[in-house]
Amino acid sequence: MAKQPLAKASSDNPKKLQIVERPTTSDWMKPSAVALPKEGYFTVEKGRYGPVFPRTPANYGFSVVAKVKPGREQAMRDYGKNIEAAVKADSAVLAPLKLHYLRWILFDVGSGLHFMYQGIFDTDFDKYLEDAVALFNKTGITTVFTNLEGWPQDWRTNVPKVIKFFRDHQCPSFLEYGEYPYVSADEVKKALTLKDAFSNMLDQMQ
Amino acid sequence: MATRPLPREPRGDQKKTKIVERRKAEDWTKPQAMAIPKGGYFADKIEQGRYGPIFPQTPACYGFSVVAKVIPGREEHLYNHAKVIEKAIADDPTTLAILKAHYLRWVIFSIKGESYMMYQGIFDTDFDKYCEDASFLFGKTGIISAFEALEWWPADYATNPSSIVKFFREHHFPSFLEYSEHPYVSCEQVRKALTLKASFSSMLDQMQEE
Repeated sequence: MAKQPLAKASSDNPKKLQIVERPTTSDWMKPSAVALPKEGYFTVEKGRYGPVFPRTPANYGFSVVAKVKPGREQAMRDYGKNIEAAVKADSAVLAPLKLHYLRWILFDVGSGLHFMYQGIFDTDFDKYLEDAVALFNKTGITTVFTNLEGWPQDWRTNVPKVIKFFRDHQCPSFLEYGEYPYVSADEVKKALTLKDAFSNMLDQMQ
Repeated sequence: MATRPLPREPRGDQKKTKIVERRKAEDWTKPQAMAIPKGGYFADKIEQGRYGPIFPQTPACYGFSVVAKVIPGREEHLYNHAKVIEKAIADDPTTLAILKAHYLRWVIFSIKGESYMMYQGIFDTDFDKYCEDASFLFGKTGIISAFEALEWWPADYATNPSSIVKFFREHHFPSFLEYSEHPYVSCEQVRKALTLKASFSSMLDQMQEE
């Protein structure tokens, strides 16, 4: 929008400008926190694979914890480098997942090595997983989850099993906070693009 | 910036409009992932802070994943605490502003029948400063920390910032991979950009005819 010249507001031109995807100011201007019940949802809203986890000020997301198979720590760390390289080669490789942030963690609190997959994204929990399996099948790359106990061997063809794994290992937050709540990554990027274009325009006027 | 009128540019006036805080496009336009070595630091880039090596900024900004054991029977304290924080922020949305956090998540999970809490944060100050600011915040607001329900949490946390830093450093598990769709962008940049976009949209609305 910002890259295009503004239409002149002449009285004999009835054409109106179309403004799309404008977040309502009340949604994102005030930082917000939501306390969540133990189950992770307030009311049971049935989705295709079970109750739908609600969107919070920190958008959709998950914190999946699973035990690492013995001897697989290095394979997991190496896989991190593969993802780094894949995103470097094609920065849009994970675009279907509609992510804001991802964090992969290995930790041991005395019960063996565990993996936590933290994600903040804009699609709902189940759709994220469907998109992830489709993405892995399309790119041919395997998933870091093959190093985890309980991961279904037929994950490439059995989406419901993958979703069951994630639902079984999901640890819902009991509190979530967002400084610019409910804003999608797409909205953030559009706003940053507009700001940059506006700055460039001001530069040109100097 | 966007809410102020542009200065006029007469030929004889050499005064220039100052553009500040603009990051180069390549910083944030391309999603980035970063693999992080075990320990959380890059051996060739270790920078010493006041409490030890500084955890590096990644495309997903600064952050932590702090895991600590819940004192048996104290889970309810955590759920109650969540409601206190929710209300405090509803009453005053700037309550946590000092922490410069994008997102925070408090999670309880169980391993072999024992409950743990994980505190996940994505923020713009470095790890140690976040902890110091948190200590200041607890002292100022009088809000009791959720961490009181955790083993080894220091009793003097509201008055002794270094005790919080020590606890967080001892219980933090660094990521081995971090990814961001809009890398290295701070909260303030996001909010300014969203404000500009909203103002620009309002301006376009005003230019429409009845």
